[in-house]
Amino acid sequence: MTLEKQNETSAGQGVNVTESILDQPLWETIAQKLKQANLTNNKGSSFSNPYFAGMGIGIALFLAFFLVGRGFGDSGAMTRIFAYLMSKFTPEHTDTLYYFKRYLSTSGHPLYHWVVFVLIGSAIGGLVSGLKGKRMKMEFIRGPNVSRKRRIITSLIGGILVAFGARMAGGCVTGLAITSGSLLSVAGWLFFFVVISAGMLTAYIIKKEWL
Amino acid sequence: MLAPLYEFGNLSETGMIIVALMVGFIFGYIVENVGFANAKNFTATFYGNDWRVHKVIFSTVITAMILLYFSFYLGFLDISMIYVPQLKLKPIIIGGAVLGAGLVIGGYCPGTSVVASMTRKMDAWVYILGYFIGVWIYAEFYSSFSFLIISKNLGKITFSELLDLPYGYLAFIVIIFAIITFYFLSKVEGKIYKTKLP
Repeated sequence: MTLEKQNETSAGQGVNVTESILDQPLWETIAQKLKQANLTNNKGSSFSNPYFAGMGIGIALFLAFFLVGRGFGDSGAMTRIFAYLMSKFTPEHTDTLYYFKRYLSTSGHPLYHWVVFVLIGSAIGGLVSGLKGKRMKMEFIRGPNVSRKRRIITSLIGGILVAFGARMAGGCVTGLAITSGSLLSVAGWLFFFVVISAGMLTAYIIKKEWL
Repeated sequence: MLAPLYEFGNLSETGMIIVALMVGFIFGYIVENVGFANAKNFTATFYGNDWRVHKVIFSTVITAMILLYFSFYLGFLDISMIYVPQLKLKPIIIGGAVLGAGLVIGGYCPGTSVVASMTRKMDAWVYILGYFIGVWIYAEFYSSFSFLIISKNLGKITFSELLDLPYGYLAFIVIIFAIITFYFLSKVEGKIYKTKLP
């Protein structure tokens, strides 16, 4: 509507100025629209009750078990996506990587897998919740004493470490601790215990990052 | 035995995709709504200020266990068809330690980072890039790491096999344990590091 008004006034002044939405990059248009729709202003303290949230995820997990016999597995989904992208961009080199063979050499498309669809669904779900809760602000989440540059470095390192740990142990928290934990698997619970202990120790060491 | 429907051929491929998208939608929606997609909230757990992560994970596990137990007890779920991971001590302990450190440094889990990146959090985008780099390094040097991964495979054991107790009793024990933990956590909240995050 704002753009139409601009066209009206400039046409009234005898100057033919046509502006179209495509004059600016798409992400800026999205950012403007989100700001106009007042979707970026929530200060973030109106979150839902964690107990009810847990019940909701538990019900969803049970539905997954009941209907398909599988649980969550987001780290595996991200690995598949990455393996697929690599095989598209550097096929000859990807052939030499033994670790990706389990994802790429099976019959059928590597992205046609339960975990990938769950990941896509969770992305959509997160988007809807963010829109509804007005938490769409583009920002860096960081501790009070941390600069943006430092946060970039820590996110990067964190991502690398988690990828490593997840591939080694065979899953991330949602896959191992929650899914397999609810089946009372020893591997899942041991993993959860180790993750929490290591996390608390690391948190103590890098206090400055978050407190 | 009626379930899992897909495994017994009672759910089509399209049905599987639809179920996956729906389950993922619920998961992503709740994750964002409870605040996990925010790295500060996520790491607040490890500082004892906000036990959100523990509460959600335990509640999830309890709910799923109760539902699983009842459907198993009533006879319409074949629990042996569900994947249980293998217990290999070395990779789980080392991988878990690395993952725990990365969780606090990065502030995200891979699933929550996808949800956060959808709400335009830039550090989540960087995190996903780091995740891809990590997977790439892992694949490139996979053969050199094999000494970390090769470990005695103790099998797909669950606690009910280990302790020789039926699933129902153990579920009950876990529920009691979780309730005690919730109570204890609410007492300790905010007192360990003497700060209360907003």
